[in-house]
Amino acid sequence: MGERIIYANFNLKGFDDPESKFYNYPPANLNVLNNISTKISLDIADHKPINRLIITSNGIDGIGFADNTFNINGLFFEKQKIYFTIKAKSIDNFPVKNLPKFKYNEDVSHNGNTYNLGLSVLKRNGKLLPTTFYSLSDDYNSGGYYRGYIKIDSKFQNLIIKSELKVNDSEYYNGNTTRFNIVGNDTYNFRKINENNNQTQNYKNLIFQDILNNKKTFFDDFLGTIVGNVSSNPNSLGIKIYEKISNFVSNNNDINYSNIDNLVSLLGSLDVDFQNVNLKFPASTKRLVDNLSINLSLLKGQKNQFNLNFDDKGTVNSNFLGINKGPVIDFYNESVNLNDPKFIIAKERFSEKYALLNTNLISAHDMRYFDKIFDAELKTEVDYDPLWNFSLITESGSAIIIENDFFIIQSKTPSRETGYYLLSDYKTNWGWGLVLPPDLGKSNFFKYEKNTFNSSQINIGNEFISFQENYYRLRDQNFDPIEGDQKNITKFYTFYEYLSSPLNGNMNQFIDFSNPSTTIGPLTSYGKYKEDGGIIDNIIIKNFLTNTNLLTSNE
Amino acid sequence: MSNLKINLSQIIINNSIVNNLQDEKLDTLNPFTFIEYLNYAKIIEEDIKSFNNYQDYIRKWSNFTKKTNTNFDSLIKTEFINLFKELKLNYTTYEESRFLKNLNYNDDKDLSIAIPFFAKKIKEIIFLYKNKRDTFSKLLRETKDKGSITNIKNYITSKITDIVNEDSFNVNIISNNPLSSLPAKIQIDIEESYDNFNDYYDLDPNKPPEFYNADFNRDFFYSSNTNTISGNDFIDFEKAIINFINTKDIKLSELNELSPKIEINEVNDDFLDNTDYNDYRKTNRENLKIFQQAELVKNLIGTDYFYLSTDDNKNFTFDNLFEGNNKVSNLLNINNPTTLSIPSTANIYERDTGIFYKPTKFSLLKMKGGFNRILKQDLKANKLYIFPDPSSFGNITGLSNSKNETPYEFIVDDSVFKNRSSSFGIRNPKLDSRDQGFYSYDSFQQKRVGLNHLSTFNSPIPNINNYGIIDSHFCDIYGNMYFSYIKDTSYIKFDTNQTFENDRKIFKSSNTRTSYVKTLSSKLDYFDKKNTEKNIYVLNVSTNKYQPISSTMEKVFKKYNFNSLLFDELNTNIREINVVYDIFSIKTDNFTLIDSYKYDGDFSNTSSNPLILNNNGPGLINSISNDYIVKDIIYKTRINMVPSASAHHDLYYYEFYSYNLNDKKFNTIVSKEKNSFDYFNDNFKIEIPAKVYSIKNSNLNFNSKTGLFSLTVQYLDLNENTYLHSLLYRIINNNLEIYSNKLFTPNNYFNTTTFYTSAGLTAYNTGTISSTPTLLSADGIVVL
Repeated sequence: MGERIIYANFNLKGFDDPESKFYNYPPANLNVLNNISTKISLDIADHKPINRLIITSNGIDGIGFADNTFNINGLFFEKQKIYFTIKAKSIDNFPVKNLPKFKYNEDVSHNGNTYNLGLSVLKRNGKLLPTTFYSLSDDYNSGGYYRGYIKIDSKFQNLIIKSELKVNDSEYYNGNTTRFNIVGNDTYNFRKINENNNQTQNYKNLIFQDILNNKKTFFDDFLGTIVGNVSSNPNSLGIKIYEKISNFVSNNNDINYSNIDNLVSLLGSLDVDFQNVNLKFPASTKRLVDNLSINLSLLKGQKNQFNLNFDDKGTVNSNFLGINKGPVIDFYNESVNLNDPKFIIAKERFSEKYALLNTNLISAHDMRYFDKIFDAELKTEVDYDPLWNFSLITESGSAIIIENDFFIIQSKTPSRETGYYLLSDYKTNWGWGLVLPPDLGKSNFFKYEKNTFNSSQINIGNEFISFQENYYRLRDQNFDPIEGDQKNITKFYTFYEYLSSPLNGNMNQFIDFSNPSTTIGPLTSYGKYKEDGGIIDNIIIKNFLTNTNLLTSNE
Repeated sequence: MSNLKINLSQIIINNSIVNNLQDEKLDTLNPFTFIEYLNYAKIIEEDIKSFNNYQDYIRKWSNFTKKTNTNFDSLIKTEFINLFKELKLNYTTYEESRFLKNLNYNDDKDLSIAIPFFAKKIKEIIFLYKNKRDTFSKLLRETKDKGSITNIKNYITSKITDIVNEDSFNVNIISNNPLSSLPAKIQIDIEESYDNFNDYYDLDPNKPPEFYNADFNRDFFYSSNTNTISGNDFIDFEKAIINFINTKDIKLSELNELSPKIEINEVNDDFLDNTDYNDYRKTNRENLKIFQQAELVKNLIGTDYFYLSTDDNKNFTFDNLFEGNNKVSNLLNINNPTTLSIPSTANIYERDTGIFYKPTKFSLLKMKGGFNRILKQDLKANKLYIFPDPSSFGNITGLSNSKNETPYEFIVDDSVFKNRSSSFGIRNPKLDSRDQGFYSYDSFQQKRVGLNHLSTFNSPIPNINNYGIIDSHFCDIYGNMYFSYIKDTSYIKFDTNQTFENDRKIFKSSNTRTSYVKTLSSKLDYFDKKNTEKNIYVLNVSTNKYQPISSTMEKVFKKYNFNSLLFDELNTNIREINVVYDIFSIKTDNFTLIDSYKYDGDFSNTSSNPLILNNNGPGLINSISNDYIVKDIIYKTRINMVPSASAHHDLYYYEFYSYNLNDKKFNTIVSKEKNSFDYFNDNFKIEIPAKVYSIKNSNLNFNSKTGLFSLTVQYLDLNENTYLHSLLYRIINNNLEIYSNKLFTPNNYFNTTTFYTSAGLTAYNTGTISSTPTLLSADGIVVL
């Protein structure tokens, strides 16, 4: 309501100006003649009508502009005091102060000199979370605001605090906080490898004298409280010292894992410029800075993806040895469908070496298939079934099919469509690289038909003749059907089914996931790890809150 | 210690935490001992009562400290608050700054609100360290590279990019490329310089100090840079001192300046100065510096030393002068023990030495051989010879190029050299596995000589005697092999009967053969071979037929039968052939042809446009350069004399062509059709002061470092003097940009005499001729 001008001068009290002394210029704080003054003029405006309610943590929400800096933080802990300040703001973001005091009341209507404020905490689905509101409003004369805090006792996601103000039936204002989460106090605890020393127990293990037996008070209540046990704070004497000794090398001289002090020292040895923070961290914070500055991938370690663990070293039921080796395969009768190929394991019997074999032989040279349908019905006697018009297969591999009471003899023919083949049909050209006698698995031989006569009229039927080595060229070279019998293969190899699941255990871990005090979870998302309000923030904020007694910790 | 109060009911203990006084507390860590207690409590009572009171004090003290223990949490809180106060936050807004600067750390509400901001800062610090872990290995590498050429290059690159990236850099750079691409586009070349001062060891002490970069003061104070071996220092003390005194230029003071230098022949200590002794004061003779220097010599010499001393009758004694103490470390000090430690400041750059002949590729050349020694007949009387171990070192100079006078004659022992059975290795010293050998340059042609004196290539095709020997062979992209035969045996004979000229300057004390008179030979030299007519044979990889090119490429050559001369020459007269991918370049007597062909088991022609360069006809000087391929483009240059050139044959068309191997098209860069006559007149008028008779060779080359083509044309005048025309040029966007255009002419040592006066004839012998002389009008010469 009008323009005001504010003048400003330097405070020149400390200067002694001889000229002004001469003139006896009175004001001590302006005792320099001809000094520079400045002024600003400001408009004092009429009161602005209330437009909305703004909720921030400390009431700093910008005068004439919207300042989101002090919005409610996104992360709180169970039982932590959540402070908030509600202010009435005009449409152009000026605080409206010429209002009565706000007071929390479930009846939100305007009541005389007080504005009753409705407050509620809402869950994500809009449902009310019953909460007690504590007022912190003071007795200053100004109005138009409300300060208070809440405490929430259990974990929740995406809560908001909602405020409502009803001036009259036609004037109704409200405002919400940004969304925040309430997390548990124990959610993101972690222990490093070797932070699992139970020094109390170590002392107890040294009890060899009867007189020290049953001295629970001494060992648990006295010594134990000094050094701590396995579930003590990781900065307790027993755990810290043990960790320092066990992890000495990595703590000191491994650039990926070393403590900050040693990292700085290593960097210093390189004579590189870098910003040294040079802060004296309290012990618990230092542990966090040391550990959280390690790359997440290294913190997590890796999962053991090794799935060629075949050798059981003679154990029968082991959780660690030979876990990828399945039951023995019946090599003579096992057939493989190329449409559903799998891996099998071959154990070389003389060397006890294992090899993983691919039964997908589509690209193998000169692949012969076997018709599964016939094989399934392998029988020695004729099994006549007029309804199905179908019959049996003889051992010689021929099928006798009966159609319309006629016997039709059909020989066993390989079928590419069915895609079946027998493991016992092993050929060297399958590419398995098995070490076998020369004739075993060869396909480069002929077998003379029955009643074949050579030039001397001698029957050479059923005799074998092989190709020349490495050439498909016929030569007078006898094939040894006994040595070349594929059944011999089991004398050299045992075949097993392949179980592809890896052990999946933790490897090279930095965080000790097997420690019951580690509750940090699998850390699968780097985004959640580093984001504002993420895991790192959570751990540090909790560290600060507990150590400044704003939150009681379990650790 | 003031405030002494005596209360009957309560004992006040001063300076203790148990009192309520505002005094200095001295028992915060430990309680007072009993004696201290008595002192601070200022009470005098019975001992037993005092002791009871002390126990009271201990109890109180204990209670008090226990109370502070329970307040442990608040200590920790203080520690954290101190941390918060130290954290330098980056404020994003003014309001944030105002709030955090005025934060009441003891107010739970304020603290609770501010903690997320502190946590954010700690997170920043965590990520700062995390990044340092990530970049550590890079930093480690940079550190290790410090001082290396690569590092200097990186450093300069980063400084240049810093300048451009800095805000204060006000120059407007307009570029289509992002600034991040700048480092990749900066090319830094660093030329290394080398210290090639050769005399750090074995330095001749008679050299002036300037020679080894030591001014006179340095020379004066650090005299051990160079040391002289004085034989008498080791043999005869008296004589050594006399010699030493005689170096002082003793003069008679009575005669002042006019005095002659006098020589003394007996030791008089008066002639010695304080500075001649070790301690700078006259003491025993054993303390004279010259004897210390003699010891120094032993420590710094790389060999044992011997002496041979003669008397009036030249009878001599021979013995060990001294043994070197550390011969291995001083291997190079043979004649002079030197410890020169002043680096030379005169450096030599790679550019000065040539790219390959860097000093780092140089090595010490140690000539190894065997020798016998005999005593010289003419030994001087009354002479002391000192010399390095004669069984190891002959009459050599070492690095210093100065040598001691030796009483021996050294004679080379022939048995240590290889004999004729070592072929080219004849006269090289015999080596064993402990020696490092240095080998002479072997030419490719030498290696090609087989036992039958025919050249051999590792090819499946034999030499065909009727058609000559294989001169070269190569493959096209399909695997067809081309062989060119020349009629020459190419046999290089090792000729030991040559008259060599000896040069003693190159290696001191040894002769180096530098030049020889070539015996007349019918063998073709390199240049002859290049230009001679060749028989080209092709092995067709598909049919396995080995035929002359005229039949193999019959279908290809048919394309050119529109020009019967070209067609004939292709079939009969090929002088040079190159095949790259599926493109051939053939040079015949009158043409150069570049074209592509197709191969599908048989050769056939393509429809592509060939590049045909012909000579400008008989009687006119011409030359076509070799093929030079740069980035899949063949470059060719044709030099044809302009028919209207003056009688000096001084004007030439220099025409430049290129042929792209990928799209198989040729391109004219400069030609007489494309460019004006003035262009050639301005650039290629050769100022040769004689009549050009022919162009012996024109050679095209390319330097990828400078991007310059170099064309060298060798003109010959009637006297076969060579004139070199060197043209350096760039080809940018199919335009020729001349970088340097120079002609090198020999000095003229020929005399001109006018014959039409009888006086002019006096200097010549005259005779009669039997035949009628003819004048060749074209060249203006008389043929007798």
